[in-house]
Amino acid sequence: METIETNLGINKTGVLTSIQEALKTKKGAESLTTPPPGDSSLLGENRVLYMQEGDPVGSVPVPMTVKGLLSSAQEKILMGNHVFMDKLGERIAFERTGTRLYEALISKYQGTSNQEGLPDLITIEQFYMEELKHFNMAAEIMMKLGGDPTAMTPSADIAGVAGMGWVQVINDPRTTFLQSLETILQAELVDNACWETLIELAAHLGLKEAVDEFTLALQEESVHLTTVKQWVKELNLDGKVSRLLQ
Amino acid sequence: MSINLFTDKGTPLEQQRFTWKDLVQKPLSKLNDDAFTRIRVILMNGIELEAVRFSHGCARMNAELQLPLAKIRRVEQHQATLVNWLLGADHSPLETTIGYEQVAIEVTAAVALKEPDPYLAQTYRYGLLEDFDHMYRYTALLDRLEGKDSNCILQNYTDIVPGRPTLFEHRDPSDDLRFPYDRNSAELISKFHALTIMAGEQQTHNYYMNIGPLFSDPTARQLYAEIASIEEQHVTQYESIIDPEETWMEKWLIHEANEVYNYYSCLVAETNPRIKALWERFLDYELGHFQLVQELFKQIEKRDPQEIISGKLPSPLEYRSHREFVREVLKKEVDYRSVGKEYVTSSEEETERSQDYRDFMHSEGIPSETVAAGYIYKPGTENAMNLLNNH
Repeated sequence: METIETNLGINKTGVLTSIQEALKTKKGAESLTTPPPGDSSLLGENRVLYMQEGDPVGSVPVPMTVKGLLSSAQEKILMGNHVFMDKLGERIAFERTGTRLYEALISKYQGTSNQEGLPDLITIEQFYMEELKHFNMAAEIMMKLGGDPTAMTPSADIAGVAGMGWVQVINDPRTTFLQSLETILQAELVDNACWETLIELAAHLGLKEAVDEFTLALQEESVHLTTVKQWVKELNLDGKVSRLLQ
Repeated sequence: MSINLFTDKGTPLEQQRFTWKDLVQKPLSKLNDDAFTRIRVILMNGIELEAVRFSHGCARMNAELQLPLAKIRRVEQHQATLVNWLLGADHSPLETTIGYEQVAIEVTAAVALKEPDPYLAQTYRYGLLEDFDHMYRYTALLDRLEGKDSNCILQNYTDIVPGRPTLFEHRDPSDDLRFPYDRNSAELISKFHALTIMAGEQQTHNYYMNIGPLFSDPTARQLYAEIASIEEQHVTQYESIIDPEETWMEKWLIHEANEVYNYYSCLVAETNPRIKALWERFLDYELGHFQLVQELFKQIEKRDPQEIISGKLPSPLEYRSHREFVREVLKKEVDYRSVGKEYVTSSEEETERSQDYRDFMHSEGIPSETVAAGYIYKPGTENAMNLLNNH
């Protein structure tokens, strides 16, 4: 497998593959189509209709037990501030999936025939271990708050749906290391933004221990982001990453 | 190259083996492989799935056939797997849907042109215009949901315009049944055609029933519900043209012969050398199945299988664009309706029972109309500039 280049070849998807036939399709559509009345806004109206009738994807599990030093925050959570538990559940799920994304990236590295110019594997493995650490740290905070880290909160569920494409791309044997790294970049961008929000939520609830732990995680995630972003840029521009980064 | 069902022995069943690795081969390229390679892959999956379903039905009614059916069915299950797994994971379910409808259009058109029986040919043209309309509706959905151009899948071979509008395709079951061919007088190719198209529609129905719930958008969920209902009608229509008086053994023999015929047609047309080798391998497997079944036929029915199947295969199915033929049919027959088992040339003559059924189904909105409201296909999607104006 090539490290960088996507092959130049006989891509058959565009109109220029067969312009005469494409023109027949275009002109046929113009002359033979009498569309139903209205426009694409009808799809939007239908979405709104179903939203009005619909239920949410699910609920946030109510914390059951009080443990550790965070019981005052749990009171607030029990009083109805479920946003934090929902978003904490999301981080747990996201970091857990993140470890699997990095495992697949490591496979991609190992399966690339020409590894010259690729980032250092040790750094990728370090990022993987940090994702794993963040997952367990977030799960521990959840337990201290009396929550269930094995439960899937609504935001965790939605993050999983949104991330389905990442899982597909990175595990596809046909995708390159760089294509997979770009997928990791998307995940890291989201991850950074979400840790920032979670820290603010924790601070709002006065969860000092959580704020401290999350801030450490964000610092590491921030390094992941800047590093992966730089790798992606260099691999696209130069076909190799700078040795200085490693 | 010509094939004789009785003299070409193919691969013996005991040599038809797979490994899990063999079942999961590298997929087609959505971008680089020819659309007709994908069409063949989709159709042959349908043919194999019909083989498996028929085999189960037959086993439930014939205790003495259960073991030979199970032995051949095991291979057919794995043939279906290997073939279906050739579709790459970069096809979204909706893009694969476009591929399914292209199968329905191009294969049904090929069959309609070749079918010697005028009534059966009419039946294929009738169904063709309905699947043709589905392509237009799903193209609008692909554009408006995923922002993608269905022509990337169709590769300029197939038109994207309304056919018989989907909203008029919903009929009372009494208007879906057709007259069957006569098992004693129908040509072999007619039996192959009926089985092939029925198999294709059946897998399309199953596919839509499986993937419809995967969509989040309400109009998409509704559209799959609506078109799955039509595909169910199509299975009803196409299975009714097959003579129900055929014996179980006769049906099994025709199934195996049809599988030989279809792999042969794929082999002749295939442009991808790797896939061509697979078609050749499975052609040999099917010849092996045919040998076993024709022996069983002799033992059980005490008659010569050549009474119902001639050794020489008909000329292969043509895998090519049928744009002009479809336009001609569209122009002449878009207003055709079915009344009982007959066709009428005007929508005015339609039955009240079908209109009543449809009116109620449509009373809370019509998804196929909603999705395509104001939609005229344009290269690059409806939001693109007029990209081909300089040509």
